[in-house]
Amino acid sequence: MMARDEIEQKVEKILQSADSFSRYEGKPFLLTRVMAAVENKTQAKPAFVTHLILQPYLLTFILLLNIFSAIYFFKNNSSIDQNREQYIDQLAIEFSISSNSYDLTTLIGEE
Amino acid sequence: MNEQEFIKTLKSGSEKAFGELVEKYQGLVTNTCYGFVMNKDDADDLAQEVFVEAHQGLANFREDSKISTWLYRIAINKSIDEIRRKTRKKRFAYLTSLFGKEDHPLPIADHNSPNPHQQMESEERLAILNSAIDKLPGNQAIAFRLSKFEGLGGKEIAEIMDTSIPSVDALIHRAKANLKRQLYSGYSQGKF
Repeated sequence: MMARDEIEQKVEKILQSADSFSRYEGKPFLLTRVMAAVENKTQAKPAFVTHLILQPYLLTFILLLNIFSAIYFFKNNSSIDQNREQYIDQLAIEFSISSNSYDLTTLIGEE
Repeated sequence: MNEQEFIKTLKSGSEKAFGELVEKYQGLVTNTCYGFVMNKDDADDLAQEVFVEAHQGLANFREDSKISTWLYRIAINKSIDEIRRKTRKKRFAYLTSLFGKEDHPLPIADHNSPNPHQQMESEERLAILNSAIDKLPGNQAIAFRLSKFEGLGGKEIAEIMDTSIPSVDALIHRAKANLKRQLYSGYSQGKF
C-alpha cells in the first residue's frame, strides 16, 4: 500500500506528463496518399448487379411488365369463364337438359 | 489570398489549392489525431481519412466558417470513432484471449533517444494519462486533449466545440478534477 503523499506525487507526475507531450506533424507525402485515396473512392463503382437493378429505366420496365401481366391474366381468366359457360350450355343442349331440371339421374333414367 | 478567396478556389475544384490545404494543415490534423489515439501510425492513417473526407465535403463547406475549425471537427470525430473501434476490438481480444493465446505487443524504447529509460517512463505515464482521459465524459476529454496536446486556447476550443469560453474553462477544470480522482483511486487500489 502506497502512502498518501507518494500517491499524490505520482498523480501529479502523470498529470504533468501532458506538458511533455511532443507534437507529431506526420509523415511526408501525405498529399500523394490523400490524392490516391480520393481517386480510389471516385473510381470505386457499385457492384454491377446492384448498379443495373437500381437504374430508373429498368425499375420502370419491371413495373410496367407487372401491370401488363396482371391485365393479361385477368382478361384471360374472364374469357376462360365465358368459354366454360358456353361448353356447359352446349352440353345441356346435347343432353336435352334444361336449367329447370333438378334431378339429372331421374331424367336420364326416364329415357 | 485571404481565407474566403482560398475557400472559393478550393470549392471550384482546384487541385493546387487542395494540395496547399493539405500542406498547411497536415501538422494540425495529424497532431490532433495523435493527441487522441496516441499512436503515430494510426494518427497518419486518420489524417489521411480526414483530408479525404474534407475533399468530399468541400461542396457543403460554408464559406463563413474557418477551415481549421472545420478540419479540427472532422479530425476529432474520426479519432473518437477510431478509439471506439479499438475499444470494441480490445473487448473482443479479451474474450478471445480467454479461449486462446494472448497477443500483447510489448512497448519498445526508442534506442536512438538520449535516455531510453527516461523516455519509456514518460511514455508509460502518458499512456496511463491517456487511458484515464478515455474514461472521462466525452466533452471533458475533448476539451482537455485540445488544451493540453494541441495547445489551443479557450476561444479556439469554444469555436470547435460550438460552445462558450466559460463552458470550456469549466470542462477543463472538471476534467482535471476527475482525472486526479481517477488516478488517485487507481494508485490506491494498486491498478497502476
